[in-house]
Amino acid sequence: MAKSTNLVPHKKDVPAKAASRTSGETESSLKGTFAAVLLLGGFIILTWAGVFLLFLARQ
Amino acid sequence: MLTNGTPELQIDRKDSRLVLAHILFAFGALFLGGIAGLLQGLVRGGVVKLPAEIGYYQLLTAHGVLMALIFTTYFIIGFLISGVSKTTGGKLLPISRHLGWLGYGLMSTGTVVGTICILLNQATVLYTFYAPMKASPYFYIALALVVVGSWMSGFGMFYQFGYWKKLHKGKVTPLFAFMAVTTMLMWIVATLGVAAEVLLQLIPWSFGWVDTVNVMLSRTLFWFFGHPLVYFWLLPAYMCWYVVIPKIIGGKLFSDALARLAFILFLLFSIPVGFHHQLMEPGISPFWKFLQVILTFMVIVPSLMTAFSLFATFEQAGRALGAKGLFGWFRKMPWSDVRFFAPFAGMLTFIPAGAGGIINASNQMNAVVHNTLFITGHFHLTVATTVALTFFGVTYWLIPALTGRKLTARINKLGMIQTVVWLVGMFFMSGAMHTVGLLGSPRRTAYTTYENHPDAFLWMPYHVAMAIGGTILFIGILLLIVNIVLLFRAPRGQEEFPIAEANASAEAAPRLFERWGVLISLVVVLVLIAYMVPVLDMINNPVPGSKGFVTW
Amino acid sequence: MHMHRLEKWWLVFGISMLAIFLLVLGTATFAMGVTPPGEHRHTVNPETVTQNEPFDKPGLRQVGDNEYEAVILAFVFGYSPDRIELPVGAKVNFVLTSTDVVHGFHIIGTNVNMMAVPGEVNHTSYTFKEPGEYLVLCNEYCGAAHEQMQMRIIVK
Repeated sequence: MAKSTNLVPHKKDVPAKAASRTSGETESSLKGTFAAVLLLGGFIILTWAGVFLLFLARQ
Repeated sequence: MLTNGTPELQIDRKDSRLVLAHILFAFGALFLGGIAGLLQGLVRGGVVKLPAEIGYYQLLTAHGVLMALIFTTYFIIGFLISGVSKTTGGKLLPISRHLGWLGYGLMSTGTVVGTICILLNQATVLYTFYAPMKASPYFYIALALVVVGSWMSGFGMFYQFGYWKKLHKGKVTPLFAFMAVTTMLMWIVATLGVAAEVLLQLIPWSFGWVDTVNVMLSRTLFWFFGHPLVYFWLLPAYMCWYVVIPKIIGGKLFSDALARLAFILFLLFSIPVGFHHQLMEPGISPFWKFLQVILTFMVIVPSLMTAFSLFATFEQAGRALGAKGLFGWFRKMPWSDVRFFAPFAGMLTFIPAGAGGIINASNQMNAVVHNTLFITGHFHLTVATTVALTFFGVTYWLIPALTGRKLTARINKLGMIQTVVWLVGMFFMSGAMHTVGLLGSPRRTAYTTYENHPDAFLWMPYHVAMAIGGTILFIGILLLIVNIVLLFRAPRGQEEFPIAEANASAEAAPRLFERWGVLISLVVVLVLIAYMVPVLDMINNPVPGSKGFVTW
Repeated sequence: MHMHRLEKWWLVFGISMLAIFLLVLGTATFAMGVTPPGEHRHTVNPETVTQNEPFDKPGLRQVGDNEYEAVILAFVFGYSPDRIELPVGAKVNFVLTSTDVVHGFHIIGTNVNMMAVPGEVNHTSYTFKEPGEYLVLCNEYCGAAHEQMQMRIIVK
């Protein structure tokens, strides 16, 4: 996708809009982001659960 | 925007002066606060003893006031003014600039008076000034001046923003300016709480015009302000991440509309959450505490959105540069550019910082960490790493952009070193604080062995690690000061003020996002839901008043 | 407003995570009685508190089968009483207030961590399952000798 935009640097509006319409392509390009935020979510759950267990142990 | 009056400066020369005055004052406060912090760390670690005329808690007050209130507020106002000027045409209206200078004058008067009170040991009540410890009235007046001064600068930004809108009817407002206005609006609403506490309760009581103070009410008013205060620190860092960083990595805004939505959620939900600082207190029923815990969890959502946006910005920019695979885009980032690296290190730190924040706000679970060093460790990750490193990263391009100089390769390298020093110092200090906090070691406490209790002995190695980390951090401050001096002596040239553009296909944000009347009404409704019943109860059935105490 | 499909999934994940945290905390608080301390409003006058029940006689009082009420006064820079002794397994209902400034009351190694606010009385309960010498310390800055403020709970 990046390559194709590089090949047509001076074409305006029409290709840009067309590119954004084919959302399937842009959508699939964020899988790294999704993996990264899931790791972040996992970290939050682990730390929270850890302190919750500490809380239960001291109850 | 493209045709600035002076080609070598990124904003008008007069605006530059106003911004530089704020930034330099901020770093002056950081330096003094850093000295206090270093000494505290060494005392608590058992490394040094203070001479009799300086108190540990006096240093602690100076450290908190100068770092948490003065450094942050000055830097934030300077940075916001610079970006508002940049994105609304490169020049502030005279009235906005004059309001900025008026604010600067009020804040600086307040800072000087407040610092004198602290040095005279008339105000050793810490920056949270918990009544019924009674400081000199001039300390409270000084901090009120700081708050009122910040309002003036806020009004200046509002005026500039409104004027831009009038001239550009129907156009999308600049994202940076929109975020600055949202942040200052949140700040003004939040500071009404502390203004009420100081003006209606503490000043009359401290002068002796009234005998007693309603302690529960004063604490509640303080924390009405105290939590949004931390979002006031954080939002300008988010502004750098959302608006500045995409430009530095050669990308575009991920989504203008979602960025605005995140800021609106912060405006709505960062205020009605103060009870999560009072979970261990009497006088507030579990229902109202839990309600505000729920609202606190709501304010996590825009941060979750921000996390996605930032990774997506990186991934899109990296893939545009030809990155492959799940995480290949990560390698494409400009790792040796301090303008990126320092804020990025801040973002990364916000992962454990945010996770710690969720733990702190978790209602009864707060008992594990309340008033322990875990909390100190937490906000040294949030404000003193996430926010501070982002501000340092901004400084490395903002000062040259304002003075018509270049960020040279050498200063860039020194900046990278300074960032790494900061991270290493904070790893030791905050890591030790988190761990020993979970073991029970209290925050805001001088060196003690608790009459040789075995539990307290167990904490000692961690306190030493804190002292080592604090020393490394102080070296980080010294390096920063050196770098700032070098920036002022850098060769002339043009340094970019990075402001990212939206994608070509970006859609306009909904109109509701700039219906300020509606947004403020929503803020008021949420505040009333969260606070009206318990606060009316505190006023109508008040605790017996407390007279003042000077216990230091 | 357009939101990427994966961002929607991320928010579903994140908000569910927060909702589950709240559900766990809320269930424990409102259905199982594991509340933060404080519970209800209970005001006293800090200047006369030592002249009236129950704070005229701070200390331990048996209220049931291995159940006690501990009435505790916090002040600069100590607690009254400064030492209490209990049998293992004792359930203690703490009743705490301050005669001057705000103090903390943290029994190290337990979830008893609460504020002593002048004018209000704080309450919490704890069952001491393990023997030992528990350190209680003030964790809210209260003045020049704040770091000295402590007491002991001996469980045998």
